[in-house]
Amino acid sequence: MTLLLEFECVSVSRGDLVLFEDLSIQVFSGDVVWIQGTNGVGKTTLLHLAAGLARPDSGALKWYKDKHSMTAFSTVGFQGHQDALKASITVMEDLQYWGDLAEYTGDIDRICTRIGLSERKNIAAGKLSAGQKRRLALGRLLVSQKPIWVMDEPSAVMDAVGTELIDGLVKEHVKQGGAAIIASHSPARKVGIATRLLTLSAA
Amino acid sequence: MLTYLANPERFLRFARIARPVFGVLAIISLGYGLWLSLIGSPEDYQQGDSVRLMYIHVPAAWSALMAYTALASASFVSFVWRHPLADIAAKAFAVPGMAFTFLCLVTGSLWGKPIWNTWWQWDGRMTSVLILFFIYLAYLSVGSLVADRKKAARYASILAMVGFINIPIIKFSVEWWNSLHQPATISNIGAPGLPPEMLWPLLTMVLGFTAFFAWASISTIQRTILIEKSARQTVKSGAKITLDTL
Amino acid sequence: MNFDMIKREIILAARSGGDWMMGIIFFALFLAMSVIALGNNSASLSALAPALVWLAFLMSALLSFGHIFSGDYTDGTLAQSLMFRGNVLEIVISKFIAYIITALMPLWLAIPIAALLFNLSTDVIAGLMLAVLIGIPAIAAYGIFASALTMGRGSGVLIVLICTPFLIPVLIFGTNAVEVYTLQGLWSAPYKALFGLSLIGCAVAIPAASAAIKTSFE
Repeated sequence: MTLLLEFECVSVSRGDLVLFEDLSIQVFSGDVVWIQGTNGVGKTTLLHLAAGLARPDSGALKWYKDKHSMTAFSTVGFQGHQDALKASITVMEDLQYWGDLAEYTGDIDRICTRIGLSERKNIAAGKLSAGQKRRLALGRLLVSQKPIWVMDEPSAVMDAVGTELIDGLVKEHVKQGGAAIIASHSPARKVGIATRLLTLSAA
Repeated sequence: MLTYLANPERFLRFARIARPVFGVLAIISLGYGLWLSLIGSPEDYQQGDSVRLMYIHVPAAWSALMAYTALASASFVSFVWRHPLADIAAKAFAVPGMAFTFLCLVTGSLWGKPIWNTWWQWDGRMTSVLILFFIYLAYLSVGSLVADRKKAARYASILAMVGFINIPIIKFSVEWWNSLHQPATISNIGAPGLPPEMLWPLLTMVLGFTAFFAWASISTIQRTILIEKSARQTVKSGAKITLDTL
Repeated sequence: MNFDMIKREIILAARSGGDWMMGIIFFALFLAMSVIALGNNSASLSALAPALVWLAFLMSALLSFGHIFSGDYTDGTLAQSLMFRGNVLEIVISKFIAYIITALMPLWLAIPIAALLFNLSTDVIAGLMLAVLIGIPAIAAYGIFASALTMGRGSGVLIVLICTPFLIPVLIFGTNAVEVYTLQGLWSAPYKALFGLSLIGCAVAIPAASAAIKTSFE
């Protein structure tokens, strides 16, 4: 059980509203942390902090790999609301591109099959359905090979099969020593070695 | 001294004294300067009384540049050390600075009209100051682009620094351009041998503008600190967070 | 600088349908309108042509600045690029090179066609193309900077407001360079000045753009 991510007394305000004050959390390998709360309470902000895409007003966030302090970018894979797809790029091309950026040496075809898009691998992203686009975004998480996954409502546009896929991917990831922080409106599921539920409720 | 003033409470104490001091200094030097400009100095043998506009036009140009230097310096401090007071100071410097450019352009236009019978002259100074006006305008626009005040200030400080590096380049190229295309200008001031009767009003006005700038900036910073102090007291507390194991 | 990123930008531009041609179309329209406004006198038009071509080039570039980063910012690609590489400077430099290749070079290649419309001599065309080429890094650098600073927010005119002061020296020396080319050649003052402007532009605006992007993700 290695420490992967740590929130140390993190405080964030948006305008004159304090979102969190002195928040301290530790995330270890094998952890899945579900984040739930009403809209606007700060789930996305929390995820952005975890991914290193936002800065806290006070306190610190630390990311670790083998006990060394790392930058967020080298340890976090982020799946956000936007799928970050370009309409004219095909599924295979997209996975290949991000795979090259991450120096992924594995078989892209296998990733395609794993996310259930092997029949659509030469289709441009603009022609995919919302659920298929989300699967492609998940494929990107796979090629990134990052230990910490930060996911913003991954199953929001998915059907039941898609949700099962997400759970399966998270389970595998966590078994290999990764961790996942997931914001979700759907009920939290026990997919990790240690699963926790973080609830944000407006004061 | 800057680190001493960096604390908001200490700045407020400083402002309580400094503000009226600079205000009085501004009134005195501007008043004396204007008297010298209008009455106490000779008229130009070529341009007659309209040369008196120079006593506002030239100091305004110099002050606009001085204000931008202050703005860029505050932006640098803000960018490197993330000090919130530096943000407030930079923005406070921008408004009087921009006003100086406007004043310079208007007086330049009025100065040229009786001599050249044109409302605008594309000489080196007028063109440079016009560009400086646009730089100020861009700075203020970028500073209000995002709702998050700290982020907006950071964007603005980056722009201020890029602008500062460009100003000597722009000034040099405009002067060079002017020398190519326009032989005679109205503003060959600063030419060697400016008689003392013209130099004194000029310097007095510069002092007056600087004192006014200090007074206006200190007032704005003081006001902003007080507004933010009262805003902080009306902060709403945030989400309740619970962490349970499933 | 990352070749995969540059390659992707080129592919995206190639697959964008007619989008990449918009700059050239605006360039042509601007010149056509200038001619109509200035009248048909061929002699005076030839004298004004270099300045008009420079203006058309800059205006066309200004129009395209807004899209450099705004698309990637709003669709989440910029965030992903950051998450994958963690190196903002690499992203900015790749965008810089890709922007020059996909937007400014096609425009540059359209200049000889403009020269045809104005009956310019080959000397003037050469001087003009060389001047614009040497000025392109400065133009691209400040465009990238303005785009990173605004990230699609504010009106399109804001980018023009930000960039214009920085591009005026390029315009001044660029137009002058064409005037002196036939007499003084490539090693004359304005060409050297343009080279200096491009160097300084890159040295200042590219790091500034990186700082602006980092600020967006704070």
